[in-house]
Formats: sequence, C-alpha cells, structure tokens
Amino acid sequence: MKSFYRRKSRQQALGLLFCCFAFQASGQLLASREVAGVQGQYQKSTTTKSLKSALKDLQSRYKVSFSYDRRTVENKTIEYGVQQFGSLEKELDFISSTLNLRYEKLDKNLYLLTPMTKWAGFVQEPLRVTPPATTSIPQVSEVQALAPARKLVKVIAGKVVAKSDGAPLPGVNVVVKGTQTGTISGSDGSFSIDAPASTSVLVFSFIGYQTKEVALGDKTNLQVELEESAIVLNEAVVTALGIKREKRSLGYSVGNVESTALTQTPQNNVLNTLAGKVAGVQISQMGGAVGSSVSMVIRGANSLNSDNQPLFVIDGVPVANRMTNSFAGADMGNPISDINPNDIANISILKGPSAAALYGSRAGSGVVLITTKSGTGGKKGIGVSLNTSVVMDKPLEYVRVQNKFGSGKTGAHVLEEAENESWGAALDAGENWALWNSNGQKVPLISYPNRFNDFFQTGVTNTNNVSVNGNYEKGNFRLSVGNMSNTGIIPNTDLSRLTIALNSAYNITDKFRTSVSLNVTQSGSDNRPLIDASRNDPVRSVYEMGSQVNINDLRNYWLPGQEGIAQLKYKDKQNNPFFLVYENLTGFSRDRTVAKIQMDYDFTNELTLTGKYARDSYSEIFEAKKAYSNYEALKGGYTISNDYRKEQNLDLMLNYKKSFQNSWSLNAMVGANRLEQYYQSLYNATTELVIPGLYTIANGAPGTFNPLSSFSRKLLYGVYASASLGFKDFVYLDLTARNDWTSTLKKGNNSYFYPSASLSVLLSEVVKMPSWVDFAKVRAGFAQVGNDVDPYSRSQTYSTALDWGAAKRMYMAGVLRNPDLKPEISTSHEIGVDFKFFKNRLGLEATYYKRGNRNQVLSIVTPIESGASNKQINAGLVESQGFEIGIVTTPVKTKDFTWDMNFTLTRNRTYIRKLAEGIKYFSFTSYSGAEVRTYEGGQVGDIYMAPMLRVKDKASPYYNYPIVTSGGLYQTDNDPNNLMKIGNFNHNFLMGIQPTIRYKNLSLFANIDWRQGGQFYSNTMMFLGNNGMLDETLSGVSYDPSRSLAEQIKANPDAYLGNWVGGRNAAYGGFAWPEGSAEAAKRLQDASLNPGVLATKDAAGNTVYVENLGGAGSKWIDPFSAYRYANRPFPDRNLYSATYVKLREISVTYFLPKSFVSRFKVQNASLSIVGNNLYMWTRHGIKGLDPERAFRPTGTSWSQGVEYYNVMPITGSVGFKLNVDF
Amino acid sequence: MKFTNIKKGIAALTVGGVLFSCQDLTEIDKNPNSPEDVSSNYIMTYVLSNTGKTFFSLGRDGSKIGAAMQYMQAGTNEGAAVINQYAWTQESWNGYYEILRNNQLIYDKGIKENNRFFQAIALTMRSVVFGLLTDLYGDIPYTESLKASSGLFFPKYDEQAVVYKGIMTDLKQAVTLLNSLESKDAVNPTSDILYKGDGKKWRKLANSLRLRYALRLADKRSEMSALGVNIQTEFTEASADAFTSNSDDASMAFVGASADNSAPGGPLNSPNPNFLLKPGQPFVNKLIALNDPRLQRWIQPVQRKWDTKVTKETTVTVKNSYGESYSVVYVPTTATNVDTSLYVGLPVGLAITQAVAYNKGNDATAYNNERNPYISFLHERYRKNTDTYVPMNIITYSEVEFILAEAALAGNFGATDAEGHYKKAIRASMDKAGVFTASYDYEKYYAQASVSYASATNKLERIMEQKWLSSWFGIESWFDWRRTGFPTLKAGDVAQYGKALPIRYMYPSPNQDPSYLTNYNSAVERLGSTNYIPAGQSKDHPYAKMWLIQGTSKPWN
Repeated sequence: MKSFYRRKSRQQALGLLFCCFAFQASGQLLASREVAGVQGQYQKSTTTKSLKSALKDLQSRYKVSFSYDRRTVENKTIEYGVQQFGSLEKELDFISSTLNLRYEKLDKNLYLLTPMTKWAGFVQEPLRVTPPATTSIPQVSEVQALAPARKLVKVIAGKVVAKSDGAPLPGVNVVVKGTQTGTISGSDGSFSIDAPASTSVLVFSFIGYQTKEVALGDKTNLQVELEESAIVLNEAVVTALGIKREKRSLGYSVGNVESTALTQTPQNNVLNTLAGKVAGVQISQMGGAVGSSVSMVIRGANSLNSDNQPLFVIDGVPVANRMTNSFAGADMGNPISDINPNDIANISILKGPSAAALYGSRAGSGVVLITTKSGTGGKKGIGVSLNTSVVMDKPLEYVRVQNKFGSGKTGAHVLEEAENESWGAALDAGENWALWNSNGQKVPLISYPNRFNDFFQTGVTNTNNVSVNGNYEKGNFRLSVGNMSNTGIIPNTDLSRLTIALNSAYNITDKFRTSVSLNVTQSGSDNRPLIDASRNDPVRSVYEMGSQVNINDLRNYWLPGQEGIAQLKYKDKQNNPFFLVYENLTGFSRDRTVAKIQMDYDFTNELTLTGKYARDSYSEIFEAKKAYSNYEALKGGYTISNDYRKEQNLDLMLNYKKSFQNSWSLNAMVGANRLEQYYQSLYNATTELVIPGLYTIANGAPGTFNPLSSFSRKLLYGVYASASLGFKDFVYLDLTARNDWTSTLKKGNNSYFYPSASLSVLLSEVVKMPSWVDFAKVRAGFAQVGNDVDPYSRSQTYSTALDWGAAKRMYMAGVLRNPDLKPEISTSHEIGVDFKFFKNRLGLEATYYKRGNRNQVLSIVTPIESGASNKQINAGLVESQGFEIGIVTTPVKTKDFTWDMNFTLTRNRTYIRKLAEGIKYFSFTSYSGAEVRTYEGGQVGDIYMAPMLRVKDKASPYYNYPIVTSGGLYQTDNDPNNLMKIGNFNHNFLMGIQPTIRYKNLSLFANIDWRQGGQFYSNTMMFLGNNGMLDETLSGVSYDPSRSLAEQIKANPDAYLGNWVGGRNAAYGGFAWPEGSAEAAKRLQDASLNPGVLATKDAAGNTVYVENLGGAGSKWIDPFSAYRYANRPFPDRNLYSATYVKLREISVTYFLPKSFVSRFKVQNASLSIVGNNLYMWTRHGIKGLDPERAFRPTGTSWSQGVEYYNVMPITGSVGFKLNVDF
Repeated sequence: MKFTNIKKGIAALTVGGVLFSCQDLTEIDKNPNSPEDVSSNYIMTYVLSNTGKTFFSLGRDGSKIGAAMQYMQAGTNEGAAVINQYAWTQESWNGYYEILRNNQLIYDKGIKENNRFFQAIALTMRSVVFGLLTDLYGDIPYTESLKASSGLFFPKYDEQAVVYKGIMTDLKQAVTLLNSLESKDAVNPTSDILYKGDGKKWRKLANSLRLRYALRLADKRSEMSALGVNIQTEFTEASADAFTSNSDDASMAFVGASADNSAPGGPLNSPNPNFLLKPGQPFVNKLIALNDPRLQRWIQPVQRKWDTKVTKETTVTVKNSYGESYSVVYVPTTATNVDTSLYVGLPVGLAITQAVAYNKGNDATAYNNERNPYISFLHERYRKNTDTYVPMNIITYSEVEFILAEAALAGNFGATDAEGHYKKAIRASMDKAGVFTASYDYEKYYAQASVSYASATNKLERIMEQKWLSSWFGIESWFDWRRTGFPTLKAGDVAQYGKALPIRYMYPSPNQDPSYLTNYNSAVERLGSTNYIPAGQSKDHPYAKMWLIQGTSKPWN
C-alpha cells in the first residue's frame, strides 16, 4: 500500500497514512512493488506464523502501523512460544531481536521496520532513534570496525530529499547493495552509514518513491533525490460519517478538494472556491456583491420542491444552509459563508446517494463534508501560522447605456425629467431646457455619461487569520482566529466576519479518546446592497437615471432645511441612490456556534464504541430601515426579525474491524442517530414611523404593526449499519442500510428503510495492463435515500391576515395538504472508471449516473378555481442523468518546472417522467411572459412564451406577417395551444480548467470556468430597452429612405417583420408624420412602425389583410411604442445565451527561500498576488450582463432562468496574500 | 479486561438510551403556530373585507372598467394603451376563487354546526362573487369548482345560464334561512363588518342581489325559464324586502391603518401619489352639463385654467360648495382648441403622445406628464388611506331604486312608478356623496330637462345615464351598458381593436394541463365571435360575446 505523498509535509502524510491503516485492516504495506524480492536466508517453518501476519496482528491489537520494505519482511517467520508480552515494545523487541530487525517509532502510531545493519556476524547497536540535530556534514573517515574481525569500513553520510520539491525524506531505507547492511534516514532526511570499504552502490528505497541505486564512486557525502513512485498513490478521502477511506476502495465518486486549492485566492464564501474544481458540481453566485448567496447543485437539480442544496457537515456536525438568505430585498449571504476558508483542511463532496446514504433524509442532494484543520500532523510542540490578504474589487463592466437622449417618454421633442424612460430630448445637441435643479432657468442640455463610475467605488476586502497549533504525546489542538471585513462597491455597504475555531483531541488512556471542536462565528453587515429590482435597489436607481442628470449633484441627498425628512430627488418616480445607501439600511448579524464532543472507546482492538454530540445553532437578526420620503415608504418604516435555529445530533456507533488471513478484510459498523431541529422566529414591522429617523418598533404609528412569531420542531431517529468487505486489495464491496423514524410523517408512513451497495474492482491488480497503465479501476454503485418533509407540512391550517380594525381575520391558504404523505425515495445508479496513466502523469475519473426521485413531495400548481392553488402531491418520478469527468495531468515535469492541469467536465439533464395521476405539467416560474415549465416527459428548465400573432393562412400572400392591432401595435397570440418553447436554462456542459505552474519558488495558479449552452431571459434588458437606455432604441431596422418601405419589407421580410422601423428623429431613421396629422405639427420626424398587416373583415365576413408596411393608411406610432410592442411582450427578444467563460481565480505565489526565512525562525513564508474574475467572455457579448446571475429572488427562494436588475457591475479583484508559518 | 469493558459498555449504552429516550414522534408534529379549526367569524371578516376590496379595485384601481365606462383615463402611463385604448389582456381570477374557497369553509361549518346565519351569509357571498365572475368572464368553473379536496382539479367551465341559475337559487335559499333565524344562529357583530350581525339587513342584501340578477337576465328570461327559474317571479318576490335606504347599503369603509386595509390610492399603498388616473372627459362634461353637485365631491379643479378674460396669469382662490378651497392659476388664452373649463377631463382613447400634452395649448413648459396642470386631478380623497366618501360598495340602495325604475319601465316585473324610483335613486346617490350637507336643492336639480324622467324621450336611456353617473367608480354600469347599450359611449381616437368598447374580461392564462385545456377550449368555443377580434386570434378575447348578450344586438353589433 502506497500513501498519498504529494508536496505535503512528511508528518502530515504519515498521519494520513495512519488513517488509511486504521480503517483499512488489510494492513499490507508494500513498498516498491516492482523490485524483485531478495531471496531470504531463513528456512521456512510451517509451524510458525509469517512475520507479515504477525505484524498484522500487532497492527490490529495495538492500533499501530508499520512501514517497511517488502524485502525486509518477506519470507520471514517468527515463532511465538509461551512468552508473555506486556507491551508492544516488548513484542517488537522479541521480533526484532529474533529476526535481526530494527524498529523505530516514527510517529505516534507508526513504526518503521528495517533490517539490522549487519556485517560479518557483527550485530550493531540499534541506531539512534533521533538523528543528530547538527547539520554539520559528516566527515569522511575510516574507522576501525569492532573486534573480532576488524575490517575497513567507511562512513557514508548524506541527505535524502524528494525530487519534486526538495523536501527532506525521513525513514528512507538505505542499504548497501547486495547485503543486509543498511540504515534509515532521520527526520531531516540525513543518514549516516558505516559501510564496508568495498561498498560501491547504495540502494535507497521508500514507500511511495522509486527505489534508487546510487553509485558511490569516491563520494562519501551524498545528496540523494528520490522520485515519486509511478505506482498509484493512494488518496485517502473522507466519506460518510467522517470515515476516511482509501479512494481506490470506493465504488462511487467522491470529489476531494484540499485546502491549498481552497485558499489560492481569498474568497469570503467557501463555495466560491469550489467553482469549476469538482466534476458534477455547479456553483452559481446569485448576485454580484461580495458576500452574496452562492448556490451549489450537485448532479443537477433533482428535487422540484427544494432548493437542491447539499447537506453540509463540518467535522461531523450537520450545519444548516440555504440557497438564499434574503431579507427585505437584500441578500444576506447564505449561512455556509460563516465558515472561514482558512480553517478548512479538506472538502469532500459525496455526490450521489451511494456515497451519502448513511446521512439519510437530507442527503438527497449530496453531502459536502468539511474537515477543518487540526493540531495533528503539525510538528511537535507549538506552531503558529499567520496569513493576511487585501483584495480590491474594481467595477469593470456596466451594461452600456446610451447618452444621446435624455428623460422623457413622449419623444425627442420634449424633455420630461419626471419620467424613468429616456425617450426624451437630444443631449449635447444645443437644446436648452429647464432642469430639475436649474431653478426654472433654461440651461444647455448636456449628457453626463459617467454616472456609473461616479456612483460605484472600489471595494476592499481584508482578511486576517492567525492559528496556533499544538501537537503533544497525548493530544493536540488548533486554535484559529480569523476576521474578514469588506466594504462594497456600492457606497456604505459592508460585510464582516469574525471566526474563532478550536479543534482539540486528547487521549485519556490508550483506549479512551476524546475530541472537542468549537467554531464560533459572528458575521454581519450594517448595510447590504439591495438587489430586488424595487425602487429601493440603488443599482436600478442608477440605471434609470436620465443621462442629463449629473449624479454628483445628488450627493448631498437631503433637501436643504429638511434633513431627515425629505430627500433630494431629481424625479418623483425614483429614490436618490445616495439617499438609499446612506439612509435606508438593511443589515444583519448572525451569531453561530458549531460544537461537537466525541468520545471513542476501544473495547478490543477490533471493537470501538463512539459517542458523538453535535450541535449547530445560530441566531440571526435582520433589520431594514426606511427613511422618511422613501418612494415606497413616505413616512419611513422599520422591520426587525430575529430567527433562531438549532440542530442537535446524537450518534452512537459501534465499529468492528477484522482482517482474515491474507485475503479478506471487514469493517463493520452499526449506529443510531437522534436528530432534532428547532426553529423560532420573531418578526415585527411597522410601515410608518412617528419620529423620523428613530428606528424602533415602538416608534411605529398606531395600527401599522405586523408582528409574527413561529416555532417549529422536528425529531428523527435513525439506525444504520454499514459493512465494507475487501478481498485481496482488489475487490471492495460496501453495503449500507439505514432506517429512519421521523416526526413529520404520520404513523405508519414515518418509518422508512433504504439500502446502498457499491463495488470497486481494481482491474490493474487482476489483469495485466500495458506498462503505461498504472492503475485501472471500475466501480458501480446503487443506493436509495429516503426523505421526509418539513414539520407541519401535512396539516391543513388557518393563517392570520392583518386585522381589519377591531376584527380579527383568518383564512385558509391555497395549498391543499395531504395528511397521508409518504416518504420520498430517491434511487441512484452510478458506474465509473478511474485510471492513471504514464507514471501518474495522466489521471482520469469518469462517472455516469442516473437518479430517480420517486414519491417526490411536490407542491404542484393547480387551477385556483379547483379550490386549491397548489396541491401537495406525493407521486411522480423525476429523473436526472449525466456524466462527470475529471482529468489530472502533469504535461511537464522537470526539476525546477512543473506544469499541472486539472480538468472537470459536467453534464446533467433532468426530466419529469411522471407527475401525479391526471396531472401533466409542472410550472416553475413565470416572469414577464417567460414561463419556465415542464410537461410530463419533458426536460426541466424549458422556457416558453406566447408568440406574436401572425397570419396563419398559408394561401395568403401575407402568410406569417404579424397582425397588428387597429392602433398599429404587434400583439400576442392568445391561444394557449400555441405556446412555443424558446429555450432551456440548463448548460450543455460545465468545464473547469485549473492550470498550476511551478518554477522554483514561484507558482502560478488559475481557475477557468467554462459553461456552455443554455439560455436565460433578461428582464433587465427588456426594461433598459423599454426605458430607451440601450443603443438599439435609437433606431429601428435600417432602410433606404429613397425607396418604398413596403417593397423593402416584402423583399426582406425576415429583417423587418416583428421588429420596429423608424427612429428617434430624422437622423436616426424616424419617418415624417403624415401631413395634416396632429403629430406632424408638434413633433420631430420620429414616426415609427410595427410593420405587418391589419386583419379586418369585409361585408361578407371574409378576412381582409390590409398592409401596415409604411404605405398610405399605415398606423404610425411613436418610437417608444414601436420599440416597446416589438420587444416587451415577447421574451424571446430578450433571451440570451448563457454560455460564458470566466477566469475566476488567478494567483502568483512566491515561496520565500527556506534559507532566508529560517533566519527569522520561520518555517514557511509565501507572498501571493491574487485576482478574481479578471476576465469574462460571454457568448451574448453584452457587457455587464452576467449569465451566472440568471436567478431571481421569489419570496424566500430563487427561480432560475430569469434575471432582473441583477446587474451590479461586474467586478474584477486584485490583491495580495501573505502566509507565514512559524 | 473483558468484564470491566462490558460494564463500561453497559454504562455507555444506558447513557445513550437516556439521551435517545424516544418521545412520541407523532405528538411533535402538531403545528404550534396555526390552528386547524377557527371560528367562522374570523373567516367571515376575511371574506367580506376581501370582497369589498375586489369590487373597489375593479372599479377604481384596475381602472380598465373605469376607463371603458369613461369615468377615467390613465394619463400617460406606459399602460395607457391597455387602459385608454382597450388593449386588454388576460385577467387573473385568483382573488375571487381565493375568497370563494374561504367562503365555502364558512358554509360547510355552518352546516356542520347548524348555524343558519352563517349558511345564509356564505350563500349570499357565494352569489356575490360567482355573480361577479360570470359577469366579467362568461362561462366559468362553477358546479365542479372548489372541489379540490375531493380530488377534482380541473373543473369544467359551466355555461353561464347554469351559473346564474345557481345564483338565483342560492340567494333564494339565503332568504329562506334568514327568515328562520333563531337566537343560536348568531354571528359576532364585530366580525360582521358589513351589517354587525343584523339578519334583516342580510336578508335585504340577498333580495337586492336577486333584483340585480333578475334584471340582468331580462333578455334571457325564456332560457332561464327553461332551466326552471322564473325571473319575473323572483324579482317580484325579492322586491318586497330589498334595500330601502342608504343605511342598508352593502358598503364598507377602509380602515386606513395598514396597506392591507387601506384604499389603493392612499400613501400606504401608493407612496408616490397616483396622479396618473384622470377623470374622463365625457363623464366630467356630463356632470358639468347637469350642474351635478357630485362633480365637486369627486373631482378637483384644474391647477392652471385657460381663461379668455384674464390678460395675465392670475392666481384665483376657487371655493367649491363643500367649502374646499383651491388655488387656480388663470392663464390667458385666445386659442379655441383649449378647454377653458374649471374642471377638465381627459378625452378617451387619445394616442399616448397626445394624451400627455392634452390641453397644454401653447404652454411650452415640460410638466410632469402625470401632473399636467391643465387636466383635473381626481379629488384628494382618492389619494387617502380612507375617506368617508370612498367606500367599498357591493350593491347600494341607489342601485336598487334604479333597478326598480327600470323594471317598472319594462313592466312584467311587478314594479310600478318608474319615475318615483328613478328620482329616489338619484337622491340616494347624492345623499351618499354628501351633497345634502350643504342645503342643496334637489328639486331644482331634478327639474332640469336633462335630468327629469318626464322630459326624457328615451326613458331607458335617461335611467341608465343617471345610473351610470351614480355608479361612479363602480363596475355595475359596465354590465348595465353591455345589456342595454346605454349610456351611449363612443370609443376614442385610438382603440386597439376597433371603435368599440370591450365587453368581457379575458380568461386568466389557462393552466397548461391537457385536461384543463379541454375544459378551457370548450368554454372558448361557446363564446360568440365578433368582427373586432383580429383574424387568427383566439376567441378568448375582450370583444367576444358571452351567452348573456349572445343573440342580442347589445351593446353593439
């Protein structure tokens, strides 16, 4: 068994190694498999046991591991008699003295076994356990060997290091070739060996590394570099219930991300660091602001009634998270952002139910296991680590707006500053108008195109982290304190987080171990940016500002003399953006404690009892203030809400592990779980304040209160069992089973059982592979997960409406509850392969999965006239299928230069195979005519709309011409049978690419995220167009004014029909109004057209089509109407490709030379320059419109595929990061 | 070793057992926040208040019907094409069925608890809301509606005649129940925000509604008779015990404390005061022509008045008959194309670009489009959270008198003295508008040739015109106009589907389930096509004729 030894400190690696052994009882420790065995000199004895099995026995009895070269133990036997051994040491003494071996305790539980340096029958004293502290180079010397047979020896000394990074390698076997004489290297990699003078070649061997023979020549001082073994290194991954397993033994796919990949660039939400790094995982940032909520969907959204977010488990503590956490229109960031990325050692993503089945109910959307850093693996004694970073967020892209015409909706002949639209007078064209702040004087009308730059600012995020770890004989701890503070790109917005984490472990006796962990987080903000597209949304306010307004004139946002009472506005229909951000604060504070106490007791070496109490609780206060004169709250308002959530888990587990002879290993476990969730909420709001600026509930005007309170509680008992069976290191079978009893389903339905099974076969161990195949594995898994429902889901209850004066009002809401709900069952199948090629230079993992959710509890939309707006059904089948591929390659590797590439590829599709009896379609969301819905048999994510009404008579020369209204406007085809599908919000695939390049002390890391395909509807673009803000609103389809428009349209119908023709004035393509019309006298030349036909009837009742193509009788309309009716009712006009490529992260790190930093007692130090989102390419090509934000908050949830004023400027961040370890 | 380990193991298991000690899981899921059963009184308040708001909103806030009836126009709103030019689209009926669902609970509990009062109230309100629905849309889900709890999710659309029959039957049943109330059949007076638990008034309401629907079905009497409903008998029976004074009105006031119980125009619901809605010119001009005192209750003078007499801008303080003062700037003009009235309504169906600039004459100042000072605003009371003269009316005494007048004119309904009812109807409306607080001479008003019954050549038109005025901000006038063609209202310059007023609400965007669409399609199939529906467009259109007016030439052909 080889361990996972890549660029990690030795100690840590050994620790990991131990973990593998502890749970993988096969216990076979083979080094350098390819080295042919050396024929032993000892006779076999059939009556005694082999050394190998004796060691295995010791391993399991004393919970220790041994490291040795295979040759050291091969073909050796040991005769156990009637001896009594009181301790491991005594047994080892017996074995080593009998077999001329030497042992050394490398780590707490790891012993190194080497052959005794032996020469001519002379037995040396065991070598020193600790190598010399001195770094002085051993001198070449000739020494006299001890009596009786004096022979010449020479002392050869030196140091063994890893070729990849030059780190010293302790524990390396150094043997004089052809003899049993040898030694091992010390903890700093140095060795010294007394070798026969005739020695010419030394053999260096070490697990995980290629054995190397070094010819001595005249040298007596050697610097030896060992190359990592081409043979597959075993990765240990954390699996369900925190059990560490060898990755090769798993029958399912587990995504594994190490801390180094998580902290390449500072990110405030740990989920952001995962984007693109794990196949099968889609990370989407919901908003543009620092600290906005992040969605994580594993293997596609499979549940139609939940947010599809995975269960997060931090060090064995299930913690609450939601996809969103919005309050009063502000995104408070989802609770998982409470964890400090710097405290994370490893994230393990259990993608499918196979992996997660033991977590039961909540594992349906996958599990994210977060292991925080601990004191183990650190050096003995105290270690201190510091890091600090500063990152600047600079707004890079805004949606481009036109600056040629000012406010108004009547037309270019008049400026109407009161309007949100910008279809008004021409700017910078020499016109004079009285402006909102010109005191009635007419002043030149000029544009102020810099309003975005003037309003938004550079945000700054500062992160500091200090951690102290201690590692002692009987225990260890790690204490970490971190803080993050951010000022946003919107003025006066901020975010802060303070984390304190303590992880400790203590061994009370050899058999009784305890560990305690505690994470305390305090996060909050005085003011978060609002993204709800309301008039409290400062981004919307800036986008709806006429270009004739100088935003700097609004900075003093109170009306003089009416401070605190009335804001300074340039129009009634919008709030002053500065007033919004400085006086209308929406903040939160969240206090969270995640705690765990665990005790393990070993009854025997095979049997361990574990008890664990885990608790996650947080209280969250939200506050929204509305100042006097706010557009939506003239007399202000105040809302405060206090939520408290708590989850407690109690687990008891009994573990049994045993290996049987050489072939079989078993690791079995039974356990029980008690889960309790508790939620309490107090909410109070007043919609009118008596004293301006005093934000208390008591200051609310009489009758304006809306107090709410609620509690909920859920209890679940589970029993579970698992068994892992291994056969000869190449076949592994895992079985799990769990039964839950939940409080949220009725008796009879509330108990549900679900099993899982997975199989892993290491083909490369079974079949002879070509030499370039290092490792090949096939795996398959099947699993079920049961799920219950939220508390109180089944009972039909009354709600309270606001009082009607003195009368109380109650009502029954529209959801028709089902008291007989059954548990949901999600069944998944996955198959996959793992390969390693070309001496580990190329690794491939591929998985295909299929998952079906049966008996899903759905709230299906029913026609309201049935008496229910929604019906809770417990039926249907939702199926997702997809594949995920991960590739790890090292295209170039030399002594100083390494180039690694990581690729992940993900594709998922979800289908509704069946709904309830008699119900054929499911509606997700509908916005401005864009309807996201799926019919039975269809795919989730389809977007539909009602098409434009067109001539359907194929015989007519006007076939397919739009039919305009009598007023000359395009109209919608109202027949619901004619709805058309215009797109789907799913990407075809997601690809993540992470190159890492190292050159000497420099390293470069980048994370590129490519999402291909899919569409989204942008309501922002619809509105910006409607409001005349876009360039495309200046003129319609171009035409040749010297020719008949009707002929041009007929010659090229596709270009004109369905679009608008005309422009804002003559210069932009506007037509002259018909002579004699009221408009002709008053307006500029801005007549515009929705070309098509009018459909009338003649006396006989036959349909007659009359051209509306610009000829006589055409219905000329203003450009605003012409643009509006060609665009607004038809979502396909604002449907955009969701394809994009983002450079999410880039960092350049310089590791200060050890020789330099050691002068300051520093172990490691590095300095990085980091950047986030410095580049984005989108297929739609519209600057400032980020397809990733095609989510729209809908009450307490988000709907996908629709974007609305989620156009916070796209920011790029640059900064630096400093890491120091003492 | 073994023994002590076992002891420890037992200890551990005991501790674990204590911690796990199983509670009864089913007890835990009792909802501590919401009750499974409540008194019908609380549901009743919900049903009554929401029904009142629904009626109010249809007339004033939605303003489509208000604009069709030319009470008002949307000034310059981007939706003006919809409101002023009748480009109506789908109308949700969620609110109506939401009320009906809760109302059904009152009825079911009334049966269960054997409370006849609640049964009668529920039957009455059921008729009010289903009646409104069918008046608006035509065929609607009725007999199979509200049965989701029995697994019926896609109810068929009933033919309109069936709905009306059900309404007539339910109302009659309500009257019967109300005639036999005992002391145990009580409702909480505080919760009954309509009649404070007065059974007699509820009975009058049920009878008044019977009058409304009997008259509405006048042209369909033979079809109704075929269904077993004799509308003349119903009418005669109900007229004996209908509203007799304004205090009988099914009318509620807004509380005005929070958005949910305040008028839609008040600051709690419209912090940016809604000046968008303008009084319609035909309506304003009619009130002016009749010297109607209600004008000043409902509408404000312009802020800038064109005047041919002043020579320079002059600020004049204008005082109305109710003692309210307005500061009006008289602006000199010689132009003939401006309206020099003190009260100026916006002509209907103007092109948006013209509506914005209406009556601005040669004033080149760019005013806030929504506050064009040359057009009257609605009275300030429509921008308040609550006001005495801004009630939510379901049906009024004034309407009942107009119904009786019309029935008397028509004959065969058992009603007589058309003029007497007509005169009382106008008087009741004026009384409700607070006209008589200012020692107003009603006889003088009534004596005008343009008002009095006697001087009218077309009596029905005369009755309907006054009923239209009295129905200000109500929706009943639309249903009356659709049935009678009176008052004669013309579409404006721009009407998106031709020069006619729309006659029905479009169905909501239908549920896309094939089973639902089958029902929907067959209802659409039953609608009568007209020339105003564009070729190729669905018959589910505001210009399609529902059964009620099919086969009649009303209101237009």
